[in-house]
Amino acid sequence: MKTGFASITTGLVGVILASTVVVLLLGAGILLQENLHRQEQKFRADLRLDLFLRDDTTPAELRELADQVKSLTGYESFEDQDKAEAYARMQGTLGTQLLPAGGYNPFPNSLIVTFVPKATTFQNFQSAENRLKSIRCVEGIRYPKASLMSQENIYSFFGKAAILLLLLVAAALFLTMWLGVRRIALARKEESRILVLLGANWKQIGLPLIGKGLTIGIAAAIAGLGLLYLFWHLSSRLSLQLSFITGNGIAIVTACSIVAGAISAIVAVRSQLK
Amino acid sequence: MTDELLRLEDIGCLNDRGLPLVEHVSFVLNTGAILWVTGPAGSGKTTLLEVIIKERRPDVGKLSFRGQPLWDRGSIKRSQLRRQIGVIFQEDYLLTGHTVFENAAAALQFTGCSLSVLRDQTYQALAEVSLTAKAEQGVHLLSSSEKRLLSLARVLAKMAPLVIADLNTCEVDQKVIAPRLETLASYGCGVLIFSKQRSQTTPKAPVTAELMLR
Repeated sequence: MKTGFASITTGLVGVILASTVVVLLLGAGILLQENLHRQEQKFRADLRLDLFLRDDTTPAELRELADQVKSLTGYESFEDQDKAEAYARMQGTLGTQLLPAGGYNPFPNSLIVTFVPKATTFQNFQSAENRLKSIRCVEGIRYPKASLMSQENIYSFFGKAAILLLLLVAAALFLTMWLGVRRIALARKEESRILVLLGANWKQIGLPLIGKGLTIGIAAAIAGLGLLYLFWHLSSRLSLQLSFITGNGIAIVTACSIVAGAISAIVAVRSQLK
Repeated sequence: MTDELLRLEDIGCLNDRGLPLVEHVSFVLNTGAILWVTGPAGSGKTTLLEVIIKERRPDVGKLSFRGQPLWDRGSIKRSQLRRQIGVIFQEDYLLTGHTVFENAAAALQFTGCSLSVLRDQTYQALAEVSLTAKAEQGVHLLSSSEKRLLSLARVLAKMAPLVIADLNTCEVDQKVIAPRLETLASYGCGVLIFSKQRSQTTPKAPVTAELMLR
């Protein structure tokens, strides 16, 4: 039997529109979080640990140091750079003759260690420094201590804020859908009561409402992601270099929307059948 | 041979303050029989109806429908029970915003019959109460008498083994619906009628009994 309620159709459209706005916010939150994460990965990928070696380092000491370096957490590779190479590189960068021919080269021999991005944390660099600084052949250790600390603080703060925001938006999405589906259910409450008196079971009352919840979830996900794409496209014209959300992000937004729609409908059905 | 449809044994219900709404009600309704349950307003007729359709649990007593208990362990499900009963309520309980046809078919649709059977039986029932011409109209356009007749059509379309009616004192209930329900007994239905008094216009039905509530 058809519903025949104009108010239910209006209510359905209203809930879809309201949910679309919240899904859009959820998508925008995920987009910002993903871009922040990408930025962090990029920052971390450029981080190196420079070990400056004494001029009198023996090959045996160098081998021992290499073994120690290889055992560091998150170790990826190392590059051995001798002082002549370091000097040549600096000279090439500056484009001028830095030293008189045959003069003393003050640049040290060095070992440039790279780590996997996950391991390029301040804590890991500090622990590596503590382990290696006592080795005799190591004259000095360098990594961007100050900037790494401040960047980590920034990423940590914004990362936590983004997760909190996403949780709040997800809760708002559920609340929006629940209130909307509940309103639709309430509009049908009297009809449902009569149908139950006439022999309808919970499936006949509940499944159409759960169907509506799923419809709201799917429609809001499609409309919300469509709007997000539109806004992202417009933002790229404003020189905001943000990447659109990944497949995982799209899946999370869609799943949140559909699950919120289904759960809110089930909650509304339960209250209606009491 | 008569089959037992409905059995009530010493049924009693209390209100929120613990005062009795109905007490010691017992009867057996067989197929093809008619039972009038009469009594003044407040004597517990509607309460008894609610107990029979599993809308209200009795405080004491036992009920069974076709030998199956209604409230004990392993009892018949509420929706299954209601699909086997046609009820005319004191209030019309019509689906507002739906057509006359949809309302007449509302109870029948849950019995699992085919669409063609649903259409045929519904139109036949509407014809019996002279509402065929208004089948596609909204129920809000019907008069109160027509709404009562539509409630009757909903029961006629369903052709349930047990028919229960909670009748008003209005003329259509007493002079049209009650006699029509009594004729259903001759088709093998068990008919249970709740009313303030037994209708005087009713022709002699196959097996008729009266239970008076006080």
